Amino acid sequence: MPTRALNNPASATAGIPFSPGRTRSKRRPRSRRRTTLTRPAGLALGISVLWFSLLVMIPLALLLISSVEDGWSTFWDTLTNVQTAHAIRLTLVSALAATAVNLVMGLLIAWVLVRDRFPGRWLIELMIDIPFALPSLVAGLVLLSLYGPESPLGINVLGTPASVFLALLFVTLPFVVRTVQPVLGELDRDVERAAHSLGASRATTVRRIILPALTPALAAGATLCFARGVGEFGALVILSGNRPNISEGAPMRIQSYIEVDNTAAAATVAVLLLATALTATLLVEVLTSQERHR
Amino acid sequence: MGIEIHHVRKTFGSFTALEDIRLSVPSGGLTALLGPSGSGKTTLLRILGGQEEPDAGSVYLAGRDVTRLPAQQRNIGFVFQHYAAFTHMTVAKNVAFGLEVRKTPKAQVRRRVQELLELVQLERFGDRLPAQLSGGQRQRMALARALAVDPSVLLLDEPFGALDAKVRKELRDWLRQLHEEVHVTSVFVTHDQEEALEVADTVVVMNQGRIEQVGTPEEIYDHPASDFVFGFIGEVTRFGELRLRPHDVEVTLDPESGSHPGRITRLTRIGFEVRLEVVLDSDPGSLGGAHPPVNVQLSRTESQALDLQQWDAIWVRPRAAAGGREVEVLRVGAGR
Ligand SMILES: Nc1ncnc2c1ncn2[C@@H]1O[C@H](COP(=O)(O)OP(=O)(O)OP(=O)(O)O)[C@@H](O)[C@H]1O
Ligand SMILES: [Mg+2]
Repeated sequence: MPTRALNNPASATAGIPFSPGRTRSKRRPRSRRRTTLTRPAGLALGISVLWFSLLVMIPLALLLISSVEDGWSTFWDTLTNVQTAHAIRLTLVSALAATAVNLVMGLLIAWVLVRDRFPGRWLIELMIDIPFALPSLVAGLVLLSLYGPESPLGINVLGTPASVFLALLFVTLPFVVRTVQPVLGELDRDVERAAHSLGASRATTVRRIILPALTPALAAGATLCFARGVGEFGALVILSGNRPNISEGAPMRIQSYIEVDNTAAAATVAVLLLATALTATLLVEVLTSQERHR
Repeated sequence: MGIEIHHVRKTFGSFTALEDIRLSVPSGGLTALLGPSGSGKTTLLRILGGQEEPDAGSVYLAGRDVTRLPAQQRNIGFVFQHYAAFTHMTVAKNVAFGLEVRKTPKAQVRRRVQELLELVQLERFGDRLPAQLSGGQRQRMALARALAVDPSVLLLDEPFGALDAKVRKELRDWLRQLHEEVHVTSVFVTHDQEEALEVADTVVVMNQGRIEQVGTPEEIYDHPASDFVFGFIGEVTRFGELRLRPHDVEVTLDPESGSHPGRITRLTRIGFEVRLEVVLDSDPGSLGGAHPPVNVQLSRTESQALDLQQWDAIWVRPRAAAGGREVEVLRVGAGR
């Protein structure tokens, strides 16, 4: 009887490809060899670590040190300084808001680019990267022409808190689009057809099948968006007018601390921005990997 | 009730993918759509599944006109060549999907999923992700998922196409057994004639967007309705102006009426079967041009009885109504 072969547990498990999922590696027995490093691989790892240290780790460590070199009280005073606290809050809130809007708009644009064929598609495809490719000072100027004092639309955001949000929205536009687009393009259309044939409406299919498949890409895009938003400087310089307690963003505070030679305070703000961006990245990573293995 | 297809036509731009398709599939049957690549099998199956709309004609599933009904409302099960698994869901969740969409009570979903996993022999794999299954197991999961909603019709597009030969054969037998248990009206697409003849109880042969013939595997094989079916379904060899199956060529050592002299240029034994390549001394027909060697298929017993060896001079002729069965021959280029 042919079913016997399928029933046999040995043959049933034999062909299972090992999946390198995160949860799986945890279950791997610890007693086995801990590394898979061969000699060339070890060398490559050594070079990578050295490179990474010189470029990233050591400067970061020095930054951390200089943020507290005048003592913890300076660190704390800097962060509780009214003007600085306002700038940090404005930057974080604007970056979060821009990320949220970009998640929706980016997904929408990616969807249109991948799924629809229409005249002028190539133009949009080309334009998406402009905010990213432009020097951000130029980006500020571009925005100023449409949303500045001479706005043909009569919308002037110059010097308002909204200018920060707008500037971040502009410079972070490509991230979600560009991370989601390839994944969406690779999605097997049969999977959607399968969901439809099982009775799922379009909305249900999007919610239960497509979005979960896009979650890692969306998360990656959002992280990039947020990190870039927190650090944006050039566009803000032009558009926000740097009005203390109104439209001044955190990177400007770093700039002005450096101008008055207060390195410790500058480093403090920098460390906070850095920590926020890192935390966001980690959080997203943890959340999406849980989602994937639920 | 089954499936009724009336005068269905489908074009893509200026290309006609399906031309005036008329077909009636009995309920509870296992029907194969067989044809070469590009013959329109998938297009027809998609029209049945509501993934493609015909330009003209109508489709009835279980007596209901579904021509303009979206896939969601057709109550069909669809199985895809490349599994179309919901990769972020466990096997059990995959199977449960259709039931959950239908808002079935949780306890009932759990029971039904368990039942189906047992049916497809994946009861121990419910907690795995599809990526942790082999191809054959993945396709069985897809089958369970499709069957979960008690579809009135099960549609399968080259369900074994992505599997290797051995698993394919296993799964093929298994599908037939499953069909005997479940008895849902099923249509599967294949371009493998052996698969169609072995698994299906009705075979629909398609070519260039048309149906060439509908029949049981025996009818299709023994009485092909067209030159195309004849050539597509099994091996064909030429004898003068005739085309016939290699096993319908009779070999004798002495001349008989209608036989023709030739020489065995190759003799191959494959298990219990012996294949000969015979070069005729002259063309038995009047088509002109070089006559290709005649291929002959014999049982080993037959071959031994005649003591055939390579380079032997022999006589061949089309077998006449052997074993009470009409030998099917077609004129070369006779068309439909
Ligand atoms: N969306 C489409 N747009 C344009 N042409 C199409 C489309 N879908 C199918 N066709 C054409 O219709 C014809 C029939 O396609 P179909 O997929 O039905 O063939 P098939 O019999 O399933 O072949 P295969 O065995 O290769 O899967 C092909 O020539 C194909 O190029
Ligand atoms: Mg096909």
